[in-house]
Amino acid sequence: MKRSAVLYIVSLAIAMLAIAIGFHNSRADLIAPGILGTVLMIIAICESLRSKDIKPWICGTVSLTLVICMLSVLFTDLTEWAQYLMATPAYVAIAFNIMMYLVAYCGVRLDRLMACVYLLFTTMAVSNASALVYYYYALTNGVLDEYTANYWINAEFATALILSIVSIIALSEAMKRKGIKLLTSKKLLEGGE
Amino acid sequence: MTETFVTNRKIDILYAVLTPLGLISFAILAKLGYCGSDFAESYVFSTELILVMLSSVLPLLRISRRFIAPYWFICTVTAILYVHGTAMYVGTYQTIPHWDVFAHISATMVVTMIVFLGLTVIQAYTTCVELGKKTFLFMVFIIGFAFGNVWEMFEWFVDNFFGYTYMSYSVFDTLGDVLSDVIGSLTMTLLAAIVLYRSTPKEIVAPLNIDRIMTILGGKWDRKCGKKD
Repeated sequence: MKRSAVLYIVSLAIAMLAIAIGFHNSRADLIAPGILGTVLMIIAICESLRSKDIKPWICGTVSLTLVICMLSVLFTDLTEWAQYLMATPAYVAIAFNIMMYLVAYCGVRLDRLMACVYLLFTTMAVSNASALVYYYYALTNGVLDEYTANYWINAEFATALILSIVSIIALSEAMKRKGIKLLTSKKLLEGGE
Repeated sequence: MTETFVTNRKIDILYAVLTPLGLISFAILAKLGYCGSDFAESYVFSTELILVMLSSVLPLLRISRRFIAPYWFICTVTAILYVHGTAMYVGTYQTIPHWDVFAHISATMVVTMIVFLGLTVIQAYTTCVELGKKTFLFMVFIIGFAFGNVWEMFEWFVDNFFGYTYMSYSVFDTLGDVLSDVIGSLTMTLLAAIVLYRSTPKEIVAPLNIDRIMTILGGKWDRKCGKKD
């Protein structure tokens, strides 16, 4: 509980810092996720006080995503490639969290193969959704020119694909070493499965 | 051999011949220099050949009795290949506004339908994979949508490899395609939801005629999982 309390406070601080940096630099693409992160952290703290602990990895992912957003705003001289290399772990982490959330709360049982398949496609879908939002914003606000954007959008897809393949290998290996054959929701186990 | 079997076999052979016929004609005409679109003739020819191969897979599998896909399934897949093949030959991508949006939405719908059927087969014949209905539909949407990503990378790779700008010519085109993928995947997921809430997975996959082979494969899969947490 103590460790997660520290994590919540740190995550809340990061989210609020993101809003502050967003306002300082007039960047809506940092203010919006910052507000979203703050709301999520407040919910997490309230839920943990009611002993419904929100898992630390949710906070970790929110913080990681916000830190990446902040870095890309603060260090504008970073090349696009560096930004993608930083952003894609966040896609994988978000996808992993979605999958773990489904396993934890939604009555799901997955074997190793299907867990890897879902992680791969969820990462790609997250990267797709992120590209859709980011590039519409970047192009309509003149952050990127059309030619560069056309190149980078595909570079982003490719980076996300490569990294998700690396991640599913890691996930599969981790499950193998721990001897985990199935990821089963508590709901299903309690149901007598 | 019964009379019905012989008749069905004749229909299957007819399907296998007729399905790729139009696309073969487009390929030959393009090779001869009669092509209505602005694309290079060699490009149209090679694309039509790939589409011919793809359109022949299901009818040939049906003839060999390895996978007896229902006719509605063969027709749907063939239709989507023709949407692209005809547009490549006639030049509909350039002449009819938003044809690519239509093509992307319909292609994503077909891909999502295949994903839905695939996941339903897994759900029906294995016990080690279990998804609730909502999670199941969420995954159908996610995988259908993610295939759009693969397609965009393929477009970009082909254009860069062969030095064309036919498929990946603008970032707005890519973004439009991704948006079409969202619409297509979402529409098919909604249709899948209606089907899923009315029938069980076994009832849904019954017309695919894969009961015998999938019972064996599903059993193997279950034994491999061992169902230990």
